[in-house]
Amino acid sequence: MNSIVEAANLPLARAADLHAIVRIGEDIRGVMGTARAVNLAAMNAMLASRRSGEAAVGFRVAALELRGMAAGLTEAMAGLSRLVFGLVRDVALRMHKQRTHDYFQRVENTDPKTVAYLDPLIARQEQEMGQLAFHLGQLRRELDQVARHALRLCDMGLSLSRSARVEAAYGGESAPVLKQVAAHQTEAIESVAATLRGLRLELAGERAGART
Amino acid sequence: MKRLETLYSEGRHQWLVIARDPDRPNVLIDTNEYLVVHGNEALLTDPGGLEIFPVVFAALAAGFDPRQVRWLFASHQDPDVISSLSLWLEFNPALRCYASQIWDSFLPHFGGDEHTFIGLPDAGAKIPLGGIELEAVPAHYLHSSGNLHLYDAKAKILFSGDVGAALLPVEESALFVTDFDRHIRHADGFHRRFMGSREAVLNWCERAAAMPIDLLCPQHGAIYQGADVMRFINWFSELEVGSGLRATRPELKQAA
Repeated sequence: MNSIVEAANLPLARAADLHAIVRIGEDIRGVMGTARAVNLAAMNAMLASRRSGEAAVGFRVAALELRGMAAGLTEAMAGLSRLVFGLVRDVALRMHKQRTHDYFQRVENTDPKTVAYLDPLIARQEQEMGQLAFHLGQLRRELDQVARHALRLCDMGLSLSRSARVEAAYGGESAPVLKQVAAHQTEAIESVAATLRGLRLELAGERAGART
Repeated sequence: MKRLETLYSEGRHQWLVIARDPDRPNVLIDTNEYLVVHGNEALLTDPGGLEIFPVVFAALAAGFDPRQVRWLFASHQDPDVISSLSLWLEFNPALRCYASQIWDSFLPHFGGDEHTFIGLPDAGAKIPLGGIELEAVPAHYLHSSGNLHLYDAKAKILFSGDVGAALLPVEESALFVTDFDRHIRHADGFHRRFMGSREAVLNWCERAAAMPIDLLCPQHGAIYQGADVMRFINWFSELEVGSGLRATRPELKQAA
């Protein structure tokens, strides 16, 4: 039966997979708060720019764009969170199926007379695990796509926050406040982007692990 | 899917519950898993059966880092309580499991080795968690012969295993008891059949009545809070249990 597993190139379910996906989930949970903070800071930037009147028109435009970006980022992070929930469940399910499969395999290895009874069952289990592995592959790719999209939003956000910092200089007496808001925004987006890059690396490592 | 919800939170101390799975197959009884957290350590009560491991684990990981779970507490030896043990150990081989010492050589049938289990004595014991102590409270013969509940004096919460359990219809699956009289109808048959001895019932009721309890958290069904906790203890103390015996011996039925 091992040869069938190898022939089908089925990844073996390991607790390490579950650890990897749990780490990814933790990263995302950690960054959800920051993504919300980016959204809030963008709103604060808009309010601050309104108080500064005509002098801060340029900053206001940048802040408005930032707010749209921040809403998209929060949405993307919520999407990532949902995908990770599904991944954790399915990786755990695969671990469960792998364990059951291992029990029957042990029986078969202990007593060759059982091969006739157990072979069809083990083959079916391997087929189910193969389908699950395929589904998990799709989920991982989807997760990577959403992370890539979120990273693009972060890049856009960083450009916008740089523009906001430039425009803040023309904000008259509110300039120091506007600069501070823009700097805070940049910091928060950089932190989200760093986590997302780490997440993509982790996903790539997990995919490589699943292939071995 | 099951969901993780917070029952109590004060500083570094928390109780969370993983409950309600509308998608579960009807053949499986729904279960509540409670997570007690203090600082960086967590203990999971009655982690559930092998079949529900994926949904319990996913619900836990959606709101909490499962690597912080260091202890399992099995109120007794039933499959819906602890048959997922092997999968939890696969995730974290260093996990340790508290259970009555009478199950020391039975529970390894679900997984684990001599390092996994911490056998609790009949009289109960203190259980350390991140610098505080929880208390394993005896509840033998309710319904298992080696049965322990878990009391948290700080949060005033008693995890009561099968005591207080109710088999709720889908349309009455709220997390908390809101109408005691309506709710208790779903607990009645279960307690009459699964609880074996009046002596054991009275022993438990006396012990529970002496503890300050804000939340009584069973493994199945809804959670009792506030005045409903004492209502439940009073109800239970007067219940005729051991209905299985009466069914096989008509003279006992007549005498009752």
